[in-house]
Amino acid sequence: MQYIRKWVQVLWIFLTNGYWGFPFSGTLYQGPLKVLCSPGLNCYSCPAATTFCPIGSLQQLFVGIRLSLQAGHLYLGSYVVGCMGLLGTLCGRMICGWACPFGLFQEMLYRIPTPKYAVPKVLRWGKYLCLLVFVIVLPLTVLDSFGMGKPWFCKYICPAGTLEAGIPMLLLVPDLRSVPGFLYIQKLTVLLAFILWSIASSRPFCRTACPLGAFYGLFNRLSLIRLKFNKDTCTKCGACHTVCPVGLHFNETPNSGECIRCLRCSTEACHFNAISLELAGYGLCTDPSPIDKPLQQSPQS
Amino acid sequence: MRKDWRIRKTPFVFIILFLILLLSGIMLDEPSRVLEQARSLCLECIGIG
Repeated sequence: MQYIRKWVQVLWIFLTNGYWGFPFSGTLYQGPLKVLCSPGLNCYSCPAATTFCPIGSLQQLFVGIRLSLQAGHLYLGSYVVGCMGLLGTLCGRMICGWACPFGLFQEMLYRIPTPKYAVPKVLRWGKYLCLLVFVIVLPLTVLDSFGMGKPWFCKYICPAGTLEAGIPMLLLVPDLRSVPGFLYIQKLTVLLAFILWSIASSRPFCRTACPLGAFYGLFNRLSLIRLKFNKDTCTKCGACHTVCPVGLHFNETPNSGECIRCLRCSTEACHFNAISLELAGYGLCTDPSPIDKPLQQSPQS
Repeated sequence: MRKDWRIRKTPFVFIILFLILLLSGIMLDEPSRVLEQARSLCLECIGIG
């Protein structure tokens, strides 16, 4: 299953970054696909991006909300929030585990063999703080003399934007190389910090700072596709705790807002069919994988 | 497949809610604004501006 997941993640990278003409054109993709929402955190200023980043677009709409209202346009973010909400209601944070390019990047970094450390649980609240403060409140309330706000999360935090757009655009457009100042150094520092942290801990950005993950996490318990926990067959062996990339105890908090639904707990750890995938109440993968079948009878014996 | 599974209605309520939100955004021509933003390079957003 994890092999399939890796390929699905790679496929999503190419689907959301499918414009490979940028080295010749020297510009971003200008086609109509950019009206589609990227499910994962994928900067639309990336030269290869073919879709819009929901967090970036939402901030941009909030930034200019006063001016657009004055101009008679009701650009309140309903299209972007509608897209995000639909994705969240369909899959919850499964998107983080299966379709986010920056999530895959962190997973690859975590494979580097070094001592590994847990992410303190209290830091999980950071992503909700980022969503509320940097994506919603500050862009709406801190205004310049023209009545415009700033895209605070993109500008000061987003390491995905620095990696996918900040660095490539400097390489691609020589004229821009004289522009970067302290802000660029600060963003590079944030990126470097998350890279180093990703080597030592599993998916630290997803767990502590990603506002998109925080938004999708709100839908984890009620999403159409979610995991089902069967208390009757659970032996509390704790096997699901050991494989979880986000440090969850699934049997204690099923469908927590932290769960990225990578399915490692159900396909690699649980031999007793206590964790399965369901679609609106109907089981999708109740049968264990063939390699697990010999252990199926254990809880009854 | 177990027989005691029931269809959960909550996801469908939220899907309809967000579909209405999305369609209202389309009716207000928000996608054209989103497209315009996504097509232009936001230097400020990527730390260059």
